[in-house]
Amino acid sequence: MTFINSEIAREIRRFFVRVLLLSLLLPVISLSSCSSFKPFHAPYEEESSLVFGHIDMGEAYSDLRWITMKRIKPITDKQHYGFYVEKGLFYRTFVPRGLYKFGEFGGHSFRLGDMTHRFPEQGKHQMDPAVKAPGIYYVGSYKYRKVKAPLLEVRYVLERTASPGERELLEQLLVLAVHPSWKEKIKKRIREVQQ
Amino acid sequence: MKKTDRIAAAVVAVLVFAAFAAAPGQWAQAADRRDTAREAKLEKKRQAELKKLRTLKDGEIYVVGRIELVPRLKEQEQTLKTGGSNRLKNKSYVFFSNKFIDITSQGMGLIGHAALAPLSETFVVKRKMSEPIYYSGALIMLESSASHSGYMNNRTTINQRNLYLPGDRVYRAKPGVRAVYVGTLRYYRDDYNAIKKVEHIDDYAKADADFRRMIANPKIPLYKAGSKKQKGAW
Repeated sequence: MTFINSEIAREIRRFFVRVLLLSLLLPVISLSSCSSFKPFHAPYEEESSLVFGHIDMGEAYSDLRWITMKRIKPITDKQHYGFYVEKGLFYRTFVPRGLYKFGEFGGHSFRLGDMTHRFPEQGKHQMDPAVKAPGIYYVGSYKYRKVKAPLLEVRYVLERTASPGERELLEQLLVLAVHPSWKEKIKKRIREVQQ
Repeated sequence: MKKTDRIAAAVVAVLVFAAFAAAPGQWAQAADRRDTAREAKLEKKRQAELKKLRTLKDGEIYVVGRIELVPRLKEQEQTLKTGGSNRLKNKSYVFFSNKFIDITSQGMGLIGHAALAPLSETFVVKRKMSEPIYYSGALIMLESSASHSGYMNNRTTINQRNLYLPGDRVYRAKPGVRAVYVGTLRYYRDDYNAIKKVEHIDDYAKADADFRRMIANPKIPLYKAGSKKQKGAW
């Protein structure tokens, strides 16, 4: 009887140890799988293409915290693509082939709260990328300029600027890149831009 | 388990099995009844709309025409999820009025100048009589959806996107005319929905046949209105 009890006790102890280990490991596993959706963590072959650009919101009422674009061709269930934003630089990977149109961008203003600006709904904007093959796509650097508007309206234009240039933004992205294949791709693009 | 308990359990099991086996048939019948009731309700609604369309008041005029998009609007291009917006599927608001208006202004007064018309089909809409009749364009709702944000999702934003078709025509009709034909307006668009070309096509014979079938009133002939291009309001 004592022998059987100690066997059962050992089995029960093993079971609880397994449960404890699983409960400790599961968050680690799930977090690591989440991190692979962040840009530049997975190999380039898996998460190309990269689309990036810059908007200087110095003249705007708000900063830049988000920007979205919509895939217009081909039309699929997933149509909207958001970007990571850091100090005016916006970027994202996992952009499949297709034609895209920027829809909205916005941020937060201390006085006015959250603000949303819309791109023109019809017609190709100079920022709208056409992703024809896996690669790195720079949509340009722009400066937000306020335009005369009636009372209670906000009107703006996005003017193309030379600064910050593509190379400067690529160097910022190089710092963010984690996977070696991305570092290599971005370095190669920097060399091409320099030539 | 006692013998009587086993027998009782078996009887219950058989009854439950029989109920589930019969259920699909009953569910199908109930679904058929619901479909029939829904069809009858839709037909009643169609008849009511037709009756309303066929009643022309003093001071009103029929405007007959057709709006076409090339390439045609795909179903996935319209995301209509807010209350009642689904009725705008494959339809446009056409603006025939006594003056040119800016249909992109989204002002509250716009709706008085608009009538809902199907795309790629002959439309017959009633408008207030005016001489001449100004066509300011058409509006197709591409997106109407709600998104939530903020603490406990307490902030709701209605997202709306429209496709605007330009209008720059003025139509003239003889006094006393009760129905005017404005032609087929065919809009050519690119991938970014920029309108590249507008064709004004005369398809009177087909439009007249469709008009006679819809209105069924031989006392109201369809008059082909003369038109000219004129700069619009937007």
